[in-house]
Amino acid sequence: MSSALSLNKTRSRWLTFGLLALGLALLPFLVDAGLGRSWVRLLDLALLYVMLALGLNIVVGYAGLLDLGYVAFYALGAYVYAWLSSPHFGLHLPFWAVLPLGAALAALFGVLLGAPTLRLRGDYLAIVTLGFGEIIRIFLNNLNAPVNITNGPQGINLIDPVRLGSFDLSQSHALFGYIFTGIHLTYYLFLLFTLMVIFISMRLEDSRIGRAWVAIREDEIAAAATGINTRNLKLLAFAMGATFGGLAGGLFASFQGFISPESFNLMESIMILCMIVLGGMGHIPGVIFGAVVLTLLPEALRYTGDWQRNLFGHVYIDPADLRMLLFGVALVAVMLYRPAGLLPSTRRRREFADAQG
Amino acid sequence: MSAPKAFPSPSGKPDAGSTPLLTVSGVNKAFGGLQALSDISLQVHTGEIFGLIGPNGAGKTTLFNALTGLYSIDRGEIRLNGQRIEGRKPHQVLHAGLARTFQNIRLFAEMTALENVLVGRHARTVSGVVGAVLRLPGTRREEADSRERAHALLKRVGIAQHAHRLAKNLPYGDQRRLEIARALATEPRLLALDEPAAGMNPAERAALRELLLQLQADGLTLLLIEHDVKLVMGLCTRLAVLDYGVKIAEGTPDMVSRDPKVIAAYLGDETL
Repeated sequence: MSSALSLNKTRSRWLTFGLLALGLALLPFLVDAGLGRSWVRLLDLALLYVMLALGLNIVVGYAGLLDLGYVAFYALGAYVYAWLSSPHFGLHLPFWAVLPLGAALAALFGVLLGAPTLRLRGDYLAIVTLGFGEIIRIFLNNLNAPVNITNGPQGINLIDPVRLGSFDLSQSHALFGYIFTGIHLTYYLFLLFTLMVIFISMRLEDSRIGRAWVAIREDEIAAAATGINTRNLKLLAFAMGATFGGLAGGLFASFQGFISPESFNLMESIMILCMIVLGGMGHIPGVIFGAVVLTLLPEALRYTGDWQRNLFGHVYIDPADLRMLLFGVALVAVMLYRPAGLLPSTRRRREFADAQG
Repeated sequence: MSAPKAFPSPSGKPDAGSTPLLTVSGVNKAFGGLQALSDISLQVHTGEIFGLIGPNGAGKTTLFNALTGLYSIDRGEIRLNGQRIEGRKPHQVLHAGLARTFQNIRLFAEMTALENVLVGRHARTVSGVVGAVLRLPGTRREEADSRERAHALLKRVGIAQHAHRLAKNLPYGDQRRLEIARALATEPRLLALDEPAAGMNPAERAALRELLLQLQADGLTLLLIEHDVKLVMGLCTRLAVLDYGVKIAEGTPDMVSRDPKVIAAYLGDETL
């Protein structure tokens, strides 16, 4: 009876999983057919932001360290990719070598920037990390003289797309009788990395390390008195978060083909933080949801311009302004009515899992 | 019984009969002009329940914080099982075998009772990021072992039914028990309890007393700060009395309760 029940449960779980996989595989085609090519590009960007938000979620959501300079690691990953895979230095290393390098350098900087902040908490930590984020951006902006390392505000252009042998991901290819454009192929590549990041996040959350992070968030002194080396675990959180940021940065550089310091400003850090807060801090599905919604929403709001023109014959509120307005209202509303986020963490799921195991 | 398994000595060395487990010698701690601890010396022997009493502000919790590495001390020496532990970080003190609870309960509020105890296993487990992500066989074994021990400890302190409730939603007395379970999960030699009976009703106190006696019977050494004189007198093998940061008496409950200095400083002022 109970084994039949659990078999049933396993089967329904696999069914859900299969449907989800099919949905994710078909998504770019459905979106392409229904909304147009530009929305497929947005899907790619949404996946990048899911990776970034999950990375920051480790630092902010699990370990409870308010980091406002997270975009620095995104920038580092992107610049490492650009340096090693563009005409800027004449290097064209393959992406499978460059991406891990970028992620590793970002992790190193995560530790370097995390180390001086170990004694800080809350607001003070936020201000210092904000400063670090800006320092990195300003460095990137100015490192074009005397030796031109970053090409300054002009940024680095003609960055190599992801290439596997002669298979160029930015070109269209005919596969299985269908035409896959570069944007579609990029979607699958990003999806692969996103799934990897989700997988790592999930495994870490339910582990000795993840519990230690949450313990530090809940009560740092009690955590230390319970045998947790708070210094090492905080640094580990910074490093893990930065790794995901660096990975997303490398993918971003290959996708855009062009990067400049402008892409990595404070607003970007705040956006990623908003995704986490809005979706549900420390809760993986919530963070994914927040990242997708906040990436797609501004685009969706662009349609309001057309509606206004059709309705009134004139655009009264610029969609860009409307976006910030709605954004602010949404954040205030979430803080007031759903302070734990739109999809807050429920413990129930894990309770059941434990009862079974 | 699983009792001996629950508290193996972290160092693995057996105790030489009379060597003290905890030796505090000449410990001083001042906060600005306030001498919170002056020349405190005491010894706690293996298997004892050692009580630390004194009026409010006598320095009991300060001494606990000094022992467990939360405060650095100005002068003096603290040895646990012969190892010097003064000046060490809290997690290092815990690794040496000294676990504690807090006067104002400090649980991980948004974690379940089970998870709280699992955090206690952190110090005695080793899995890292790679093991956790790949679920390597070693990690799985360690995790299964930790869960089994955590469930056993929850049962032991009598709150097995709350395993999957958030710590913050537990009744007050059970939160205190959970804190003890979390401390026990770290496999201490010496467990320091800061007012474990505070805020408990008589029934909860009686149950706590039973639990502490059981832990002692299993070979654990206890250091206890407590205000409830009746509980302390009935439970402790020996006591030290602090007043204004000075140790004014030490001995069996009987001796201490007859000491005129203690009566003057502490018992005499109270309406007993």
